[in-house]
Amino acid sequence: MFKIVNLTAKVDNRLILDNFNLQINDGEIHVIMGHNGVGKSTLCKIIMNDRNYEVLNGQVIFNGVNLHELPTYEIARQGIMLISQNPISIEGVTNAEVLRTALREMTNEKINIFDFNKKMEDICDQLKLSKDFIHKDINVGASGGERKKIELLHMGILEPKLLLLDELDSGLDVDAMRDVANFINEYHNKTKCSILIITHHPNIINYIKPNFIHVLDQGHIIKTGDAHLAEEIENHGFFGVNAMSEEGQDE
Amino acid sequence: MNKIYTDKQVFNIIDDNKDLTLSLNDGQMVVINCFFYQIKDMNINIEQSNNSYLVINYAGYVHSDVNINMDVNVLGNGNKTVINVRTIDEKNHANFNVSVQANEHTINNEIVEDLKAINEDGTITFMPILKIDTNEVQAEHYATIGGLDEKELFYLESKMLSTKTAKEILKKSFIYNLFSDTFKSMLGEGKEEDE
Ligand SMILES: Nc1ncnc2c1ncn2[C@@H]1O[C@H](COP(=O)(O)OP(=O)(O)OP(=O)(O)O)[C@@H](O)[C@H]1O
Ligand SMILES: [Mg+2]
Repeated sequence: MFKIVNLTAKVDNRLILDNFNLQINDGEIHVIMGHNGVGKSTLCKIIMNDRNYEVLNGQVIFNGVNLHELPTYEIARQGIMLISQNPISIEGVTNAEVLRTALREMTNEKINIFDFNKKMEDICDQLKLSKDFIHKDINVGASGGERKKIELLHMGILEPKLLLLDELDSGLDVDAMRDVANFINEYHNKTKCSILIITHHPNIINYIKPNFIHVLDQGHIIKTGDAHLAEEIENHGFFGVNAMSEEGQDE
Repeated sequence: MNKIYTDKQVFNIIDDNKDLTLSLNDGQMVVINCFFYQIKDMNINIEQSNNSYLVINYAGYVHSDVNINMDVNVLGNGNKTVINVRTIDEKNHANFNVSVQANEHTINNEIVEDLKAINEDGTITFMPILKIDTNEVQAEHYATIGGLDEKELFYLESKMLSTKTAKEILKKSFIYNLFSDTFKSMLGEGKEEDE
């Protein structure tokens, strides 16, 4: 179980999260929507303990472990993986090198290179991603959509238990969206992992079916609903949805 | 304009700090690749006459106090000089004097000095010196000293790499990026430890 309790955090001396609470049970898929700049990406980075963000209060707990006391790599080793909104590129470091090193460090065992390469190639086929990327520098010379697929290649190898997808759908064309969603759904069915999806578009929700949709505003979740909430937001905007929920409370 | 140099010579130097003195022939291209697991004092003195092309790629790790002097003297016309330095100062002090001189009355020479360092726990001084006694020269020099990129470190750690390993990988790529695949393979790049 993944749980965020009363999280309050600042960046650049500005309060971004204010008493934020969220619970994701094993295997559940949650969606967070909200205005630009409301703090969705910040939330993801705080979960991974990015030191640029200052946590004033609260806890992030995964399977009983308090993540905030751990360095980023330990959080990753607990099974949490973030696919960023804009994955960076790193010159001189190949995808294969990073993944091989990560596995070797984690397991303390030698990696069977043949099996490892075969697995990466199979994942590339599933994602319709050119296999050339395997031995290329991380995200160097890759388009926006290709970067997202490369990150999912990392996911397929590192096998996280909780996946944080920050605007995975941005930069993906319709076909790529379908291939990527199939890949994630298959992984979810196989591993029963939990997923947190950040998005602005209800389209991704047509492909990956969430259990809950939350609206983030003023530092915390102001509304939670099922998949229909995404359509309401699409039709009425965040303000409309919020007003409707306040009317509901009055009755 | 890419000239073809039929007279080309490559020096590959690994962990050997013997002084190096050379005079390039007219029209000759010389590439000097130097890599040091631990940088030691070294002097490199080179003369270029006419239409020659010199590339020095120098990289390595600093662990003790060292002085590196590179002195290139451009005597004639139409030469190209490129000096790239990539170092990581893990401790103590390193002093790099990189000097290129283009004499009076020479024309059509091109000089680039690109010196970069990552400073971990030491101090580095770059002295890029361009002694140019003529206007007929095209010269650029860069010297930057910084730390490892925080965003890159965060990215690698979020892919399960320990801080120590992530730093090692970034340092290695900083240094290796300078070299051709041929020279990298001499340094053990691409060697698969797994089976
Ligand atoms: N490292 C940082 N330094 C300074 N300000 C930051 C930093 N990261 C985020 N912010 C600010 O914090 C606020 C929240 O940013 P965040 O990226 O979390 O928004 P978001 O909800 O993901 O927006 P979007 O939908 O546009 O991706 C913004 O006002 C942003 O400018
Ligand atoms: Mg964002």
